Amino acid sequence: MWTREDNSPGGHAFPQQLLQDCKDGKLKAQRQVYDALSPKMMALCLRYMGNREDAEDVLQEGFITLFTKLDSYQGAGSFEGWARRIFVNTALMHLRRTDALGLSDDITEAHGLFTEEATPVQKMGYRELMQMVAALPPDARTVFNMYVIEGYSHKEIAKELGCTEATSRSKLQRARIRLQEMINETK
Amino acid sequence: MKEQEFDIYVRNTLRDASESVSPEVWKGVEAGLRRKKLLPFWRWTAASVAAAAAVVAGFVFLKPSAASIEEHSQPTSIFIAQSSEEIPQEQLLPIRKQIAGKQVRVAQELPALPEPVAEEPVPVQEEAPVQEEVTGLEEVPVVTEAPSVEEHSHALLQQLAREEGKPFRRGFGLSASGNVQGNQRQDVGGHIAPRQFGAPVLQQGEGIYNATPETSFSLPLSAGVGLMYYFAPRWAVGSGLRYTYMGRTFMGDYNSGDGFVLAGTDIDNHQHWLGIPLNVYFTFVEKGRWHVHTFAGGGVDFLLRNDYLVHYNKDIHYMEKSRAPQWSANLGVGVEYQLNPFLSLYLDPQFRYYFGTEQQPRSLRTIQPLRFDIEAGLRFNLGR
Repeated sequence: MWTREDNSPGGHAFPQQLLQDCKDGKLKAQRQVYDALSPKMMALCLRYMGNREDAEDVLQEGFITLFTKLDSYQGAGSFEGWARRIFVNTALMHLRRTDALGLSDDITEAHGLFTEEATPVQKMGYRELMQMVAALPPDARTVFNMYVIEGYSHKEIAKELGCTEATSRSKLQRARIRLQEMINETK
Repeated sequence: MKEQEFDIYVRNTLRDASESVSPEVWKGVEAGLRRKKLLPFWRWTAASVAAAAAVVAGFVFLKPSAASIEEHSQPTSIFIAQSSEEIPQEQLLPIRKQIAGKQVRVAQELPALPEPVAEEPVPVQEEAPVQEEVTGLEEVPVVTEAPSVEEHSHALLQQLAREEGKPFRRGFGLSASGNVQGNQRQDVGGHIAPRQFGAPVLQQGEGIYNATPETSFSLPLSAGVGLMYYFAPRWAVGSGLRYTYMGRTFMGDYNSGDGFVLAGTDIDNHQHWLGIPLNVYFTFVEKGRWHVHTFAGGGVDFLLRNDYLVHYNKDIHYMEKSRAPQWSANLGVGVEYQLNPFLSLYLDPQFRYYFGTEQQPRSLRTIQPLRFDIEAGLRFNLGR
């Protein structure tokens, strides 16, 4: 029924007419987009917030923002990619509101990530990895998600979070070390 | 390298993962979107009120002096020259009436013309005779070009009304209007049938039951006629009759009452209402042909017909009995443009709240009792 207009591999197709119907406020079209995006965006929100309750709050607010600001999507890049940025920003707003980020300019180098005794991460499944990421401290979790999963640069992260690039690198390293420790503990 | 492998694996595992979502999230999204839809109307209203307040303030504080009003609004006047023939007063009065229309009463009698004075014959001169100013005569505004008569008479009417301390419009006004409410939308919710809610359809009497959550509403439309009475400067009261049609489509169950039950079928609902509105109007800006007014009031609507069309291999008509009247209250700010002394166009955006909607068949009013209407129409000033 839908033509493949989205170039992202494995991504969901969002025809122009469907998006136009959403802009026109047609609930049926909005529900279709919601049904298509909500499972992935819920996983995204869960990665950032660390618990289901907060993740659902962010998901709800993110979709309201998405449909309200749909006019600003001009078609450049994939719709799903645009939607991801909406949800990342919404999650960051929530974290700032609760003061959970608390990023300080701590640039102490973190060491001891990939030792010989380290358990390969490839042994971890999705559910285990998700739980481990959720267990990270909020600041490290946020930087890890933005850099590793979303693909932000340290410069972009520093700008978004109001810290230095050195702090961003430091937090990322700490996140990696902590994850590896948790992976090792499952051995 | 190992670090990069670590990142790539985690990214590939987590980026496109999916999680289950509670149904409550969509309800929250829907409610939030509904609130957002109302918000622009509040902003529009706030902007309208602010603009109206600015216009009023500008009018009050920047109002030109009476002298300049006279100077700019008085039509061109000529002096009636004394001639050898007496001009009867009754010939002068109809001129004034004809220009100003029926709405203007002659404020005072024109003073009597002085007796013509007998003079010796004056030799005819080639140049044009000089028109001498005749004292004791009022300046009578006369316009010669047809297109400007209405303009001047309109300004004259307003000025006369102000001078006499009386409203520009008096008497009755008749209006014909159309009305649009809200938007076509789909909504979550079922048919309101509290006595039978949740019970098996077969065990209930004749009726419509168990509508599925999705309902599609059509655009509510109204048309009406009204009567306004201007009882004081700037004040008027209005009433009339207003017909409203509301429709919706949903999926539900139908019980014919004699053992025939249709489950999960498409049903169209057509609601026909007749309302009696009552409003009080206050005009707070009168600038030329434009009037800005605020109004408040209420109304009562009666459900004339509530028809259901149940779609089957042949359609089934089911009519529900009438319910209690629907009461409402409204508040708005509108504008009116006077096309001529007898006819004006008006636009009345307003908020309307419907009371006791739980007793009524499902419609946009029951889902959203606070609604934004736009009423537009023609107003005929019958005057006196």
